[in-house]
Amino acid sequence: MIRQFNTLTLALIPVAVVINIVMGQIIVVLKLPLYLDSIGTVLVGALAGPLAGGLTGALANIVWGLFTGPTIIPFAITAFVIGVLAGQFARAGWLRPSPTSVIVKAMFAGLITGIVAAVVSAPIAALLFGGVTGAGTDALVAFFQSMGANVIQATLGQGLVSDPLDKTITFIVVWLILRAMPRRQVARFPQGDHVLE
Amino acid sequence: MPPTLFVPGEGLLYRWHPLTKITLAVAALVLTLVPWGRRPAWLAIPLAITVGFGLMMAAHGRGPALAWAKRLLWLVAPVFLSLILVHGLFYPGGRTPVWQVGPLTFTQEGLLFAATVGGRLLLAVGAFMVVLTTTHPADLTTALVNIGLSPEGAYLILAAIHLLPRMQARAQAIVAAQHARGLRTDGPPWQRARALLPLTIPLVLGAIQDVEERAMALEARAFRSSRPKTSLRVLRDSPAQRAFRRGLLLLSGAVTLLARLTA
Amino acid sequence: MPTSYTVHNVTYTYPAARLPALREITFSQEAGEVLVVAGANGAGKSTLLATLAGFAPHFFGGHLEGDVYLNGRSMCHTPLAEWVTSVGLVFANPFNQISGARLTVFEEIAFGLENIGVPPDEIGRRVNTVIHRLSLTELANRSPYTLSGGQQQRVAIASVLVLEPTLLALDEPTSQLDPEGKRDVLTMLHQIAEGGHHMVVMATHDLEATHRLAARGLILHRGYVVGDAPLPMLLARSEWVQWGITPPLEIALAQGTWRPWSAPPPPFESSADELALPESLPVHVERVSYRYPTGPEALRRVSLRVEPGQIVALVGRNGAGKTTLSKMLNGLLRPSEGQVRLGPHDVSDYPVATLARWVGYVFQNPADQIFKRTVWDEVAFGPHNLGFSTKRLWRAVERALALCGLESLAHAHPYDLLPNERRWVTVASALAMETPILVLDEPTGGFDRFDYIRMCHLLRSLRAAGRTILLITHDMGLVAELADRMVIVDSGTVVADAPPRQVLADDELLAKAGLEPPPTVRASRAMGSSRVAYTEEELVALLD
Repeated sequence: MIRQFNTLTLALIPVAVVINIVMGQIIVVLKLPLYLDSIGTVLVGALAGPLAGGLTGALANIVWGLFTGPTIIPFAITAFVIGVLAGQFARAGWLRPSPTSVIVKAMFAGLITGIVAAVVSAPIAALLFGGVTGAGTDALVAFFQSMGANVIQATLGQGLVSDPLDKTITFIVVWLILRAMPRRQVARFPQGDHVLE
Repeated sequence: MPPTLFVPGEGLLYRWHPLTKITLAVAALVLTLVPWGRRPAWLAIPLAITVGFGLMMAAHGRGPALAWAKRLLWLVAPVFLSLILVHGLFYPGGRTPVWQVGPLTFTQEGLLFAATVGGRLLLAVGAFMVVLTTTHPADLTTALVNIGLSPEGAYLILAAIHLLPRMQARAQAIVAAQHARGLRTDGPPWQRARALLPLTIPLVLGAIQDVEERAMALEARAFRSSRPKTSLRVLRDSPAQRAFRRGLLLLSGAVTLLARLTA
Repeated sequence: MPTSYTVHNVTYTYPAARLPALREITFSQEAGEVLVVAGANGAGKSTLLATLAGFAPHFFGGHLEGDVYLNGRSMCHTPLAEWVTSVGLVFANPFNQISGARLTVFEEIAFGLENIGVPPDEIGRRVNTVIHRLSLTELANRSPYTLSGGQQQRVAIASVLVLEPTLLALDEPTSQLDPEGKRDVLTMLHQIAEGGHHMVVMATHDLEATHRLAARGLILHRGYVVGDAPLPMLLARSEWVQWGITPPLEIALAQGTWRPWSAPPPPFESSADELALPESLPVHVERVSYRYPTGPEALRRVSLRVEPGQIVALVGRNGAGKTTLSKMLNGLLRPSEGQVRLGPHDVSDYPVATLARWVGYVFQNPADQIFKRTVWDEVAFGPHNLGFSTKRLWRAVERALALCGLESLAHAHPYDLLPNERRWVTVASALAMETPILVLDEPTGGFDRFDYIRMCHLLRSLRAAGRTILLITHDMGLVAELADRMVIVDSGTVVADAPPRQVLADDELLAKAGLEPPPTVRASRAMGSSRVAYTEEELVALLD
């Protein structure tokens, strides 16, 4: 599967994996209540297609797991889905920057991706971690459970509060990055024509 | 190589083939997830794996063992706390009160759920953490190549690890450069949000600019040659380890099936 | 062994480009020959090398007519992964050439052999031979990522040489290295050329450093070969100005065509009044020490003074502490001990965003800051952050663009510019902030003679206008021309602080700090003159 990628895509993927990780640190500098840790994933999906995007997401979780611990590795599945969706949306032209600002489409793509990400994550988080991560957002799980939700529902509820917003902003940022990239460079990538202005 | 979880050391765990360790960790994970409601005795297998791993780590000297224990604690302790608070107090099936704190009630069912999930987590994470602590990432990828990962896949993982420090340094340089141009990264949220693009776009565009050259460098080293590749790095393996891995996988599969059928 | 290759009537057009980058190119190269390819930016040098190495068209796509024949094989009909074992390509950026897939220098060099399926014991033999031949033994077990740029570049060269290519193609192999790295790589290239195992072709701007390496030169101009002859003969011709080539100083002197940068008519004179600011501030660094959170002491009790109307040059090895020191001025780093004052202001009392009003900073790597879609917007970012009024912002940006020769590129995409133009964008970005103090970190990297002359005039005008200027550079020529004082930093301490001609006369001190005297000094010595020329004007005076 990986062998089919052209060399440019192969060289792009590790760079994007690291962009995902380093963006987490920039967010810390800015103290924003976001993750934005799938910018690289969405970008590769847009430039090199669904499979490359999915692989970038999955690898980012695995590589980051080598640094921090195995607990984030199961969410490679979610990250894979995010990359695939980004690739499909880009293929459908939803991420194409244009002078007449179709950023709304990109935002919508982000929103949908966020919802799907929450749906995919919930059973993994519920089964392996009882729906909690040890962070402040766990209060939301407690809240939904106190409202009568079961573990999976509560986990899903927590995801639906944070993921769609985060992914919408991620897609906006990627859309702006694509717009800032020189055309010549965008055109070099396999799916470049689909995201050219 | 930047600091991954790998800690250099010596001993049996370092000599074992990475796949042997991975198989053990996978068995620990799979066997904790099986519904053991009626026969909790089977949990002895994953318990034995992780405890055995832990004892072996301890025998490998203070460095790796302490690193392993400390990181395991760091990783699971916050989750434990959350589990106890979230499920001890708000578990949907919680009926039997055991402890009243002001308006809040810990239930027996909730605490049992927290303990079950927490226990599973500790065993599985503990086992995988042994793999990551005692296996150099390069050996890990070589092992994966041995079971069918393409060399391209191994490249993706190792290249990402190697690129991380460089990109972190660039992120710092970018923050410095934009600060020097009067960009503010403090103050109210809208002001901080405005700083997102001046920091993100140079990071991403600069990195993508290098991608073409990095790709050419790979081509220049015949990376895309269709001839079968050889490997300078050879992992030690033995017929005994191979047989053990196969046996363990079979056993785990059989036991899981049995549990499902009798559940 | 194959002994020659032929480029036969090659015309190459990049994908989506209207005009060919290479036109009707025909030449051949014989065994044992070293060929230098020269020409202006955009003349087609890199494209020619990429074509020899098979990347155009196999990697880039696009359209190629003609062919390259090596040992009877056709480049067009050989897959790239095969062709690269016959032609090894090395390019400018050392970091990007490290695969990232291997842990030690030894394994990195072995990577190519693994890829073509050489048996492990033979890999070991061949890598050892190359490591030995190229004097890399000491580096063999180090991680390629812990090496200096020059060392990384030598590893990159070894990594393609191990494939035993007939032709070694080097694209600006020394342009991104510090003087020491450059010297080491050139030594290695001399060794390879003398070894005679490989044909060598090298694209370069730096004829000063490389002309002794090659017997033959090929000059490209707008995609055409306009000169193909023994190098001394080519450089003796006077068309080099229009070809965008800077010949070695000695040759230009002998030819009588050389002019110092300050020679009239001054092409870029701007009046000091125009650049004058209402405020001027001196820089006073008093006994500053700095320790990185996770590292050794980077600065030890360093003091430095720069007054308005002065240019002080900060020189020394990479990692000696120059950049660390300069970052103290605008609060990017805060001293562990000591004090930094900008006139009446103690730097520690202000946040970085406020200090940006007083200190403009030109950083080394343009890619670390450029993010807007037009040059104009990019240059306006700083003044905008400082809250300039619309009128003042507009005037400041237009003036900065004019000073840097960017007027015609104001609406271009910064990422479509050439490297030297991108550096000018960062210079303009700092100038537009109208700060009394300016810090410039390697401002002439990647510059040709034309850019260099413009920079010299700009710095001189800024000084005349009373700006306080700190210049960090490896270019001793620039230091000799413009600096009022030259400060050598070595291992975190100041080891010299005096007028340049005083410091540059001390060969022992220079060698200790890894510095080389300016080319004018070498030229005047080569002329056998009893007096030493530190500046270009002094060199002219010697000639008369």
